Amino acid sequence: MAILGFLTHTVEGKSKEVEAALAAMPELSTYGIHQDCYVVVVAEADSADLEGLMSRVHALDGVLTTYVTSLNVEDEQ
Amino acid sequence: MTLSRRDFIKGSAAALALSAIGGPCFAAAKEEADKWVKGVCRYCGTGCGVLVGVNKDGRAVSIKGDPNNHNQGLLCLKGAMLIPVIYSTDRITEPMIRKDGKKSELTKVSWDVALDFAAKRFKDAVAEYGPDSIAYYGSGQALTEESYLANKIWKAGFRTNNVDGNPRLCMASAVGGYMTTFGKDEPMGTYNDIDNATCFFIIGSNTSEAHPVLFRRIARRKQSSPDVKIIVVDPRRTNTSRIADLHVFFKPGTDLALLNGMAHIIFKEELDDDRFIKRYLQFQDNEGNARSLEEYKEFVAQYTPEKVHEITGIDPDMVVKVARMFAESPATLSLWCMGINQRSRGVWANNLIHNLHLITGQIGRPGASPLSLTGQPNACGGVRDTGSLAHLLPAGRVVANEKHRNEIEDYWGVPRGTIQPKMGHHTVALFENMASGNVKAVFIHCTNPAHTLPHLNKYTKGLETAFVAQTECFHDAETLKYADVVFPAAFWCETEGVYGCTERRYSLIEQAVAPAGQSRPAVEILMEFAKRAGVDPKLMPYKNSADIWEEWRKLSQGTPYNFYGMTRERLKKESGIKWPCPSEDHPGTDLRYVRGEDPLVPVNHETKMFFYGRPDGKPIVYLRPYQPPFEPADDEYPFVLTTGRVIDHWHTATMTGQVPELRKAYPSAFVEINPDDAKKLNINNGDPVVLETRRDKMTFPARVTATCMPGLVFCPFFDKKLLVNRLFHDAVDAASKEPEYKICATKVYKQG
Repeated sequence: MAILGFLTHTVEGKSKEVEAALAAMPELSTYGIHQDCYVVVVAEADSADLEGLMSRVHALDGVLTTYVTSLNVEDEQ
Repeated sequence: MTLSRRDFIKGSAAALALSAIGGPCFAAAKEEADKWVKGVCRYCGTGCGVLVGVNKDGRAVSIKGDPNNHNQGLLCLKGAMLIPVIYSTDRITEPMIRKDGKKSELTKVSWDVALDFAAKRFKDAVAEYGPDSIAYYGSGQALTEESYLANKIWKAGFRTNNVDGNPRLCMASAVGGYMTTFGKDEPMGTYNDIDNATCFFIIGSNTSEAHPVLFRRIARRKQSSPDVKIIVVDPRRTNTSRIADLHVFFKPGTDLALLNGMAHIIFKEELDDDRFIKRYLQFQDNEGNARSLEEYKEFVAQYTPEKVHEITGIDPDMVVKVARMFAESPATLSLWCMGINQRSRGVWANNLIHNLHLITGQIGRPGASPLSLTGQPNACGGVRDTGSLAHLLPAGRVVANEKHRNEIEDYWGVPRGTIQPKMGHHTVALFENMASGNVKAVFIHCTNPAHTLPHLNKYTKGLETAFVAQTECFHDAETLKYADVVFPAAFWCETEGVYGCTERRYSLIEQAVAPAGQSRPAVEILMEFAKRAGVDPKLMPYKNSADIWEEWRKLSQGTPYNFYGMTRERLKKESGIKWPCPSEDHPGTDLRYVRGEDPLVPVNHETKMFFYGRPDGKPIVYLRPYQPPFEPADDEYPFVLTTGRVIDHWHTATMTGQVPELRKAYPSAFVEINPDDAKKLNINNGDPVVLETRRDKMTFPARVTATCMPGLVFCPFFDKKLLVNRLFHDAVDAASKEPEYKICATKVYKQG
């Protein structure tokens, strides 16, 4: 399983909705809203599923974009 | 409480994300890695700093953004997925040759056999047909040391200026723009301008997909300051336009009229900076004749909003709004990329953007700058700065100038007269000359021309005809089909070298892991090949790439590209430094041409700005008329076809295609078509759609979306199964020789 840390950049005024939607996704853990527009998120999923997962995050209403900060795949190698 | 290893890694991942926006770290998330090695992302020209985590077995297992580089710890998804690329099963790990010509199979051989095989062909060609019968075709992805070395080997060793590369296909018009307006290449601003700009003029750039981490910085700037305005000029409604205050749609290829029309409004409404104009600027027409400010005003006065509307389709009120927003902002930052550069009038388009900054004085202040975005990670540092193109020599010199040639000959220790005065073949001409048999052998390094050249059916003939030696990392590269010899090159962090990104920042990639199989660093391959091909070994007195950097660093001293202060040791310690940087205690330069900021402007210079690139110190505002693209839509071919990137793939997908999750996101190319057009043509999502141009026809699955404006269709170019460049013409910009990939006329119909 890969562990991916990323920020979700939300459209103004939508951060709470986005955080709730992210928290409802079983592969994700959220770590709060920061600076009113960033939700800190960690995904735990098979590498092969990460792209699909990120596409679902992008498709959420209120998501402007995402920025990955780290990816660990040590137990997949 | 006991943390499991997975909990620990998750905590670390959250902490890294949080720290990237300046938040506090969690207590549980201390760093733990056997070793973190500093580098730069392998993909786009943003040049994000990375840290590669290596385990005790010497294997890369994790990656994170470098918090000390400009990306502040952030990466895009494809950058975060670089590690699987290193360990792809598609890696080429042994040298290969075709023993019996192009139709035979590539077979594995020893390094000695492969090197001798290639060297003999080059040596024989030079002996029989002269030095101009061979060539080097390089890359904006090659390390700086590799490009510098190849340039020296070919221009001073083999004595041919047939040195070109794929930056000709992406950045040449930007170079032409900076050179003709300011006298020297490379932007005067940096990414820090993003944090200070109050208006962004984004034209011909889908920043959100092509430079995602920069887009984040722009979006953050917009959200932190409601007064910040964003103008996006693009015939596609991309994710970039989601943050725009004004999105300007226009008929593809007509933006020169908009840029002149904006200049007209700026003068008409007295939004120009008269003091700046009188102090610093000069005016010139297309024939090189000096013109006056009044003549320039008269020239742009032809481009009334109504006239601009007639040419571009842009509402006249919108032209006025955009001009006002640009000029009235306290600090306007223009950002552009391939939509401007890959045009038959790409240099002119670049000039017209510079014109707007100059006549409004939107330059030389934090946030006010014309900043051309680069497509590749080392097109700026590696190719433009080292002069590794057919007309250039290192550090802003040109082959046509005898003084420049002599300076380089003296420095390289070769007799004067060694470097040829005539420029070599630019990319399109090079492949044309390969097809006609004038160029007998080419060394291709770190690029994939069989996928990226325009009018592919025409130019792959050159690859079929000439002897092709190629360094490559992946079997998937289309050009391998034509290679006579393949040298497996160490990939990315398997070797060491410098990348220089859009903002004049040089950062070191340190070696993190051992090269795969028998692959070797490209500098070793180049030197071994050259020695066997008869190049004097004294030209290459290097033990490693650090020695090459040392020579290049010293060569830059005293030039407008001065980075003498960037020693290898310093680059190891710091996460990138921006030139000019003339001494080891110099911090690097944000604002070029500005007194007190740019070390090349004398501290007591009489004016605040000094454009030292021009002999008279005065940038040129050009009178460039609107001209249509080479092949606009017409009655017979009524649609405009354009190409570009998608977020999950990079260039020809030889790297991103190795990552299953990225491949899955975009398994194949497609054609985007506007819903109104689709309705008229009875096309639904997924239908096979034929694009037929004057060169070829191909079938793509339809993606019906409002992204494209009516009359425009878009195909990404990453897919080697659907080589969209087969459809394109080969018209190039008259000055930069960059092909016009962004516009060709096509028929569109559903496959019957």
